[in-house]
Amino acid sequence: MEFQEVYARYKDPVWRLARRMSRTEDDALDATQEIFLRVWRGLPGFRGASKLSTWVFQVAWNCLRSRHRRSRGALHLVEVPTASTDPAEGVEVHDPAPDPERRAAAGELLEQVDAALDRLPEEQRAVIWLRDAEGLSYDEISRTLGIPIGTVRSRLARARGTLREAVERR
Amino acid sequence: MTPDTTELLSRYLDDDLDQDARRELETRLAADQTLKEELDALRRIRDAIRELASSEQAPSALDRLLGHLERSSPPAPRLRPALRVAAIAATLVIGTAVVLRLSQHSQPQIPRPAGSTQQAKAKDEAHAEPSRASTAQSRPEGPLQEVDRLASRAPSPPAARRMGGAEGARGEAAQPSARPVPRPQAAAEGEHARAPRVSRRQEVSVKEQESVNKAGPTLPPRVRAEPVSGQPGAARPAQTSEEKGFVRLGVTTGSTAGRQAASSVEIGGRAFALAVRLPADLASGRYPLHMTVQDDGRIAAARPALEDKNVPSERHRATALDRACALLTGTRLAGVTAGEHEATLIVPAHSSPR
Repeated sequence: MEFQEVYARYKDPVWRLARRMSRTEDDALDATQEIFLRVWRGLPGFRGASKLSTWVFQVAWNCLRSRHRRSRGALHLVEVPTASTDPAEGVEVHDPAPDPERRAAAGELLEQVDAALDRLPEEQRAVIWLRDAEGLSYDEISRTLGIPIGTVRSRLARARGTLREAVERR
Repeated sequence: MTPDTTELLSRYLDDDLDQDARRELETRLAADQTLKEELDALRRIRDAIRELASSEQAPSALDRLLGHLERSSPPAPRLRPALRVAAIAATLVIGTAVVLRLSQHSQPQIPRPAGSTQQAKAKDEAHAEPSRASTAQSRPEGPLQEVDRLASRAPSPPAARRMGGAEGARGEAAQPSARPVPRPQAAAEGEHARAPRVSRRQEVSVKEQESVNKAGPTLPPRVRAEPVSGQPGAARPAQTSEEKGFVRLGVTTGSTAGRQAASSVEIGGRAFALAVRLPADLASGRYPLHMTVQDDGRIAAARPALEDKNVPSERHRATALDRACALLTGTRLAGVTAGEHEATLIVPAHSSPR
């Protein structure tokens, strides 16, 4: 397959993953550029042992991880408050809207989920993003991230549970 | 909600449960309103994530940044690990054989009287044209023919090296022919002044010459280093881009580092502002490069020049600079003639810390 086709097909998913795993849009742009550089280099050697999408996401994930390692400590993660912590601490409290329109409520939910996603540990964030946003199967996520399927299941459940709590608190 | 229940609901949402477990959960869901609300909440979150993804597309800047890759041919696939090991082993064997042969041939020259007619002739020829002189001197004894014969059997360097990749750069480090061969000023100004490409034979002839020098005072020692500009004695080009009046175009590079000024490439006394986005972790500085330019002015390959002490560190060079070199591939340098060039990549200082 030509690089142009691969790029056209995967630039949006790769960009979204990079954006989701990076602190800033500029970081994501640098990361995406580096990912496709690796794809461009590696494509002639791709022998179809796995699905192309899995391979591209593998390249992307490895690249993002190595970038995080290089920036050592630059990754800024904030723990989402859980039931065991004081709910008043570090959580902005909103008054419930008296009669919110459905659209506004949906928009608010999106914002909440968006913000809560960014606060997830990166391993959980990657799993839930690949599953829910990009529609990868458990097996594909397992291959992409190099973790057992059981770990995929547990991380996904933890991520969903954490998001559920974060949204519920607001 | 217990973690087990959350995982159960999560797997139910993804249709990951077997039939029995699914049926059992559905029975529980029908009886437990809290459990059903929990499932609905997880489903809403999943739908929200899907909606977030659908509304996010890659910025158009990415197309511009990666457009040059689309126009370039990808490198040939790398060797498999086993083949790579075999190639390294073959290189070592050939290298050892060459060194042994050369050292053997240098021995008989020790007793030669200094200042003989032949040596004087060889000396003159060495100053006039290194390749021809060394060939003339050594051909009767045969080491170069041996080298050529062995080299013709050796595998060609992988394309990844030509592309300036990290693997390639490591390969180059082991390849002495990547270094510029020292050329006296007379030669630089002569008919070969515009053809600085180093042949394997030239490099070997230099090695051979050095071994001769160690063995006896038959020829004067030769200068090993040659400045990028081709002017002997100057460690760096005499002028910087600023001194030449080069105006930075303000193309933003190295985004997150907040670089405001453009990175540039100096080649043949001219400076080109770069529109490519260099790796943000590439430290500011001047990096000597070897470049191959195509007929249309596009950079076919760029790789770091290895002999420069101003490169911040070898490790740094092997990562960020190699990636920068790969990114330069396909960039068009208007008016630059096709062929091999020495160039300098100039990365300006970060204007603000990350």
